[in-house]
Amino acid sequence: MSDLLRTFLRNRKAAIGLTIVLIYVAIAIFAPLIAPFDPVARIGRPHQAPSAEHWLGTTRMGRDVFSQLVWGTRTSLMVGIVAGLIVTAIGTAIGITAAYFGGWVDDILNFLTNVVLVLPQLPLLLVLAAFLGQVGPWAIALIIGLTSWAWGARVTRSQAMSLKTRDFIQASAMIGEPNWRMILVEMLPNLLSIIGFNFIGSVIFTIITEATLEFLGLGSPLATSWGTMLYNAQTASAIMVGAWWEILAPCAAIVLIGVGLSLMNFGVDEIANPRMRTLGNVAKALRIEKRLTRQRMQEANQ
Amino acid sequence: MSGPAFGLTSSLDRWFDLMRFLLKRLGFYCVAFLVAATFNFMIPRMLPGNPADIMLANSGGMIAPEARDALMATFGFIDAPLHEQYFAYLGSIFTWDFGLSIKFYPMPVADVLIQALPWTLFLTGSALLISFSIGTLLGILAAWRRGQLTDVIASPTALALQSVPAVVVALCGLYFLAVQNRFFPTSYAFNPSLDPAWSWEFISSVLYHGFLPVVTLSVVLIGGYLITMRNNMIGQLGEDYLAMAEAKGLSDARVRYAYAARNALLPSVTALALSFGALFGGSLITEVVFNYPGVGNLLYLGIVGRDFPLIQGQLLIMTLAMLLANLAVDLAYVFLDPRLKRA
Amino acid sequence: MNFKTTAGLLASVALWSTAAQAEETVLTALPDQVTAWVENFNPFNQTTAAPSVLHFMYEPLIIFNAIDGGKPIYRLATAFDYADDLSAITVTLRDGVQWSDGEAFTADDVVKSFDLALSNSALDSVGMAQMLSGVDKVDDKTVRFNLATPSSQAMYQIVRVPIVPEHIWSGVDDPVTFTNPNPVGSGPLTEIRRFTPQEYTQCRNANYWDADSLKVDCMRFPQIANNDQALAAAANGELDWMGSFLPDIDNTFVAKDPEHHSYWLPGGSLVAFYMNFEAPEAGDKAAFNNQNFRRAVSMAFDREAMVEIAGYGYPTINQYPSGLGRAFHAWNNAEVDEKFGAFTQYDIEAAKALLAEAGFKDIDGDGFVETPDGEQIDLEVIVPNGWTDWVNSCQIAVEGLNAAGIKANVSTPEAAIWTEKLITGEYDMAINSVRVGATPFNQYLDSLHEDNQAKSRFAASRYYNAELSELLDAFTQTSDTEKQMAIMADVQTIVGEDMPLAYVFNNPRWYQYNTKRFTGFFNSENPVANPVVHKTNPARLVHLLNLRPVE
Repeated sequence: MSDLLRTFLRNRKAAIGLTIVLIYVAIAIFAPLIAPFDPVARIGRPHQAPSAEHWLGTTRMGRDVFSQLVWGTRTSLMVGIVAGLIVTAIGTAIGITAAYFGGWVDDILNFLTNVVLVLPQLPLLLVLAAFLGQVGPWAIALIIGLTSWAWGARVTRSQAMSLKTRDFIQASAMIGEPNWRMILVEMLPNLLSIIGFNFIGSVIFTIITEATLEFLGLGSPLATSWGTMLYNAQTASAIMVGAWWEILAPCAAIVLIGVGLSLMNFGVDEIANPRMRTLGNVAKALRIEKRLTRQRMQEANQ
Repeated sequence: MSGPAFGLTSSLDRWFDLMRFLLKRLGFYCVAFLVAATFNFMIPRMLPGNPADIMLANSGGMIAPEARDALMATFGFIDAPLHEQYFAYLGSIFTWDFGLSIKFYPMPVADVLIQALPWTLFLTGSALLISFSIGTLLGILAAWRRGQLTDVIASPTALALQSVPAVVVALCGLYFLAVQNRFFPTSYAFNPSLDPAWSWEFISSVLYHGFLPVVTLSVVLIGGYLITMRNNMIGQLGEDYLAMAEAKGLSDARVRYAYAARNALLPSVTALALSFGALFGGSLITEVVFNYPGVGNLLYLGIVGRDFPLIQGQLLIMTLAMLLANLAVDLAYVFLDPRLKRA
Repeated sequence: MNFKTTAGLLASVALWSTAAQAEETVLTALPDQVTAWVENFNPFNQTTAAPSVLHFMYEPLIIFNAIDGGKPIYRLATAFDYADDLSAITVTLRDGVQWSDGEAFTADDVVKSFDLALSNSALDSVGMAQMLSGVDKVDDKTVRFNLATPSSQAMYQIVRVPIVPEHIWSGVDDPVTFTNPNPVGSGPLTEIRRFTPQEYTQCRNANYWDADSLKVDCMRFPQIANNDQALAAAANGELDWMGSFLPDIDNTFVAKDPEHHSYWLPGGSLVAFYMNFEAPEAGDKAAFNNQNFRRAVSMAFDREAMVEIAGYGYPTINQYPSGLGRAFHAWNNAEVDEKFGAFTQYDIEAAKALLAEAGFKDIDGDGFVETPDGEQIDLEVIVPNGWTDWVNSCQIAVEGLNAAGIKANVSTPEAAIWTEKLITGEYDMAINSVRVGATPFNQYLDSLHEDNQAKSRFAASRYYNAELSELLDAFTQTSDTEKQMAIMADVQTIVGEDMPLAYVFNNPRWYQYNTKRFTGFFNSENPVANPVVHKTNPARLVHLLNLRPVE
């Protein structure tokens, strides 16, 4: 496990990504200490530009944008992680189960996955959110979690399928290890990178989708999250009155966490599949490798 | 389950395999469609609130309670047995009769949708075309020059773009390019005082109004295509046949485009087809921000105004689009991938 | 859909407009925000009909000018007389009025119009079936309305029914779904010259009876979907007459062209926090039934912040204990202000003191008071999701309530759910509005009369006061202004003392204008009538006839 972590950190992209994400996590954990004001209290005049007192200015309601951003980090990260966990849990369970048992179990689960995959997702999410009425961040996490697992299930299944054919798994099966042990001890650890990939991807997707739903006014306007900040800014016509800080602050927050998580995912991908690397020294190594291969080929041809 | 080895099958056997594969897929789509349609049928019926109340609440008008009930009846809120409603609904996909829209009463849902459909097709079509061609091309370059400047700049940028929500791109575009600087309009698909015609004036107006929405969608999509293509390409570059081709002294460009890219393209085409299906819903946020009269905007309105017939008709069409896109992918695989031996 | 028809029109329009360009005056108006215009010109349709059908296409009988004490402005009618026992109204119709197709306007048209409303409940949005027992044609120019119950207020409702031509509508099979594609009307603008979902133009009625007053040849209605787009168009000077919420209006709109851009936001519908006298939880119910608790609630409300911050300063603050409103100040009973005025001033300490005095104290130490019987109070304030200014007002209200030691929080159900909860009584507290009429009578009738309680969202507080209801009934039984004033003074005393609703402000009537192309717009210096261009304001016809193109 620590080996895995070390490999992960040696990858520059993954390290940068992880740093960004950790900063966000720290902000989320220490929000009460970092935020200078209560995020929902009126503490200044409406739409004050950024200043020493209000680093990112104030909203139309006279609330401190920076404090909202900090508290919003907590909401948005929690929603992302919860939905990511749900998505990964369902996707992994279905994917591995389908691949491991095969036969009719696979037929049914795979069919289910494919059906969910062809449903138009965003429209369905919107309709569901509207159906539930004023949905708080948790409800959004749940909706996203329960509707977005199909892609992960499909990918996990195909990875698990190929894993199943490996010798060591076949061997364990022949020794007669019980199913639960086969799945949990033999298969799961070897699927960690795809599971991690799925989890991080789901977190990104959730953060984006939550912001979109809330921006459209389908969330609860009382929650403090990035999406709600965008929604409030939009209804206060922040763009039109030139209060750019009210719009750009949550936008930047969303983009940056997205980049951080994507970098992590890129790192995961590169570790799982070393050919994907782009780093300079790797490129050098690759060029050498390529030249060597070419030489070998030429030699072989001659 | 796997058929006989590839090389040994006669062409007739292969033909049967193919047909079996296609029939199996078609069967799946039929069942999937039924499941999805049932979902679509149930969800709006569970939505709280009714359109008459929402419309009246929003317009601030006073209306007698008796008139409200009568109004609901004219909107078609007659309590037929659920199974009758269900079969009528399933039939509507063949007759194209989704009932009357409430938001645009008394226009039929089909007419409302047909008005909006071309705009979404234009928007998503152009955005897909632009992002796919640029993204794929850059992906090829990035893969070929792995680790060099193109790759080092393009790949992380694509990565970043991939994780930027459309709402952020749209809002920033609106703020910087339409409000701060009035380079582009903030709404409509064309100048409303023009009438649709095949004139340069009209077409240029369409292009002008479509610019920001198309760019927004393209920016959001391009990263995905770039990364997909790059990774597939790198996957291909490792294959022996390329090294062989290179060793035979074929030019770089020829190897790059004629061999590697062609094979790497398949997953990208898949992604393209699938996103075409998904984009019917995906362009929603862009259309809402830019007041673009497409189906996404309509769906949003339908949801907000509880226009059940409209929501239903739309979800049905969107599901159909997704299924057709999937079917297209299946067909593409049959014709493009000679290695296909799934049966 | 509409492309084909409009494309056909295109050529002729082009020819026509070049020929007549010099004298043609086109007024661009924004009466409503929609995503697409629907080609529906049925004046009975309350939901999707084009917003320029009422009043501009179908002239009303009489317009009662709310800003001028409800004085009648006669249009298709020239007089109306109540029978002495207030059981019938005789209306005299104007001579020499023609429909836009040249047919004469007669009593038959009026009778047919009311027949339509009475026989199709979907068309009877005004509720004529309850109000009228019948409509008789006395002669070609006289109609008698027989009232089901005598009332001096009936005419205000009767004039809201659109008057349509009998010779057209008698041939309509289903007047409910009829879209009236070739409208024949009596109003100033009856010709739809161009129609697309994004824009339509409605032009002059060649046979208009009051053509001398009409100086606007056409009105153009661009489709605009939201406040941001409305602001963009308004700031650009593209709109002449509009009514939208424009944020920070002095900077975003007026400053763009200070010479021409202007606005006037007279007070409109009355906004109040409703307290449910039959709240589901025993503690909340007990609290709301306590007069001192209601007064403390009112004192915890920072009305100025609601107006200035949540409302951008656009609403008119309402600190009348009776909620009378500034527009009706002529009716004011000064004694009520004197006695109970303190209860509408924002004063947290006084609210706390009042609560303590009434026996509300914090027993379980959670920082919030319980009822004198020790029951929990936990108020949920409901407000429709998306109605931002109200949501923000509720947040300000809850801040105040919490500061005063009353546990409360905001909840934002969908508008339809909010309406339903108000009607069924499954709520604690809600922000709500009630329409104001030509006199203060309507706002009290709709919200506080016993007979209306629990029947509409306007009378959702479940407050039953027989004395108040009797006074309101008495008001309808007299047409004598002196007597009406006296009754209204008593009404104010009861409402001001009891505070069944916590009034906070009057919503603004949204109205902005641009004098670059037209003059004569109403404003605070020229307050002729309600200036709003929205379809709910009949006086917009008067406004249109007052506009003059800039030479």
